[in-house]
Amino acid sequence: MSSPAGPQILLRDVHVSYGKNPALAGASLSINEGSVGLLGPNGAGKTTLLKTLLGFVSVGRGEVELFGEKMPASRRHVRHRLGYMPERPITSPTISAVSFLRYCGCLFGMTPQDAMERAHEVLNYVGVGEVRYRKMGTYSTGMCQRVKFAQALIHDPRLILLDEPTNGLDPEGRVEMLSLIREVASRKKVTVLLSTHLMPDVVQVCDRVIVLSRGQVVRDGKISELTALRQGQYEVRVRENKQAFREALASRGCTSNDRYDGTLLIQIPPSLPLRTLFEIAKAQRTQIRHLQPARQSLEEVFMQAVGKGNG
Amino acid sequence: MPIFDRSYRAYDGQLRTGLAWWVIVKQEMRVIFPTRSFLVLLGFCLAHVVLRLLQIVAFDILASNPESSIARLVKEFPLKVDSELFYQFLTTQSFLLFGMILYAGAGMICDDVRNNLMEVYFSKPITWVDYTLGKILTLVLLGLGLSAAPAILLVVLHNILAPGWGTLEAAIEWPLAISLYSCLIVVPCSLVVLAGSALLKNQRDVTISVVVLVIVSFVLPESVSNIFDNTWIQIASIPRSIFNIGAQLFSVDSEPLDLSPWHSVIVVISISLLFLGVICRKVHRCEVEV
Repeated sequence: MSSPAGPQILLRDVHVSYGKNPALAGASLSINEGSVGLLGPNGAGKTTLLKTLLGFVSVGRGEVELFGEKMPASRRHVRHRLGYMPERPITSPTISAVSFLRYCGCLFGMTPQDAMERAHEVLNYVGVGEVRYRKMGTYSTGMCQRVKFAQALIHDPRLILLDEPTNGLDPEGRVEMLSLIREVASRKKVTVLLSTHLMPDVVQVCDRVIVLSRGQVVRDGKISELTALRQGQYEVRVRENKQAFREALASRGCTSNDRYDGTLLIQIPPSLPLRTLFEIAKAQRTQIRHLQPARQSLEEVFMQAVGKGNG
Repeated sequence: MPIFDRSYRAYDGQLRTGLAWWVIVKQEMRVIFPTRSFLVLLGFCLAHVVLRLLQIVAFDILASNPESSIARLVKEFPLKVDSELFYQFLTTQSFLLFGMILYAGAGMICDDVRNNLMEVYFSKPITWVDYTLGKILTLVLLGLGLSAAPAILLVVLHNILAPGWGTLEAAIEWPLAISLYSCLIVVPCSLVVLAGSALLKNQRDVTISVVVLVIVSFVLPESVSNIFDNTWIQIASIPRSIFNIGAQLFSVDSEPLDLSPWHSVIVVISISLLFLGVICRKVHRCEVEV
């Protein structure tokens, strides 16, 4: 039986191999409700992890539990509470999105009337308008992506597995898709596991991030904790005389590095007050236009984690 | 108050369990029936049923008035309602059914694979068993609906139009023979088409391959048998084996093979199991990759 207080996803030392190639090599994790980002370089085992949760691959060693039930033995029962949006594009070219979603609803055990009603509800939600009555073979990539998301929501699942949900979407569609995912993830007792290689997507949607590398979990934590403040480090952007400003900083014992976005990452010695930066700027006839305590970016967390994983 | 709310709504209805295969059957029927090509094939099948219906009605009505001039004229023609009529009806219908099952089933699995729908379906509470059962039953029900069902209705009609102990006694075994022969035609035909669909990548390839396979199976064993003067080679002809069993079931004299029907039964069942094994293996691998 599912224990209400237990984790929704539990993996213990899971090993999965494709022939002789290990895809998951002792992955262990535990996820309760909330939105979790699954990051990793290509071939890290993200999709395999999702497939393992769905019961699509045989687990060589280890245990997988969803809602307290063992997988894949309870897969039929567990899938009633599980929605999955695969990475690859899907279409059912000869039928409309409404018919397709109605069919998906019926597969989940809804009555045809409920399935039809729910199909319209979720298509409204994901923003598929009148086009829903056209055959899916005529849809654009973005439209298919929305239908793919809708079919994962049709039965109001407790656990939603999303594999690269913003693939093929234009910038506007991507923002909209992320806001839909965020809204779904904000509901109580719902877990969203978002597998992607786009870190901004994870930052926008998720509270927690799991980094996979070579089939192992190499970093797991809340994004706010992983991207913690760096003691004595600040991001600074000055209006002009940047080089003179940097030289003046160096003369006062500060170190500065150029960042990719044109700002400076400045390390101030503990003995030096923050107002020194403004004094130096004034002396160098420039203005500080941007100043904020520096945080470790998710990209840096990812690179460190993957480096550790690779090392 | 807004008249339209686009926010997320929870679903508070019930989710039933079981009978996922029946949902698949209904959906496949909904997809197949509206297509024009299918309706044309269906029209041919129904036209054949109507012709047989007219044949039975003509025979029964005229048999009730044997002195009429039309009845005398009809006696000149082989217009009989006997087991051979139903054997011929089902044998002829088998060619039309083959076309229809091929059209309906060739894309059933390969299209789902090509359109990446397998992982979507298997993320729902269905297993490869439900999926396979649903696809096979769709074709089998379609086939039986156009072979066994009309044939049994024709038997009933014959008994209504020519009531009497003699008619009933003659026709008492026909429904069983019709059901068995229809299953023998429809089930292997459905399995070979679905096996092709599970093995190949698109509907066109499946259609071509299955047609070639059936033609070769029809012609080659007969020719080789004649060349080597060995009747056992004919056993490889699946269509002829099926017709051979049918002839035995309806006690028709002209048997298509010089072999015992039991040999044909063993061959048809073995081949059907082989195709079923292929379908199960391929679909199972779509659900569980490794």
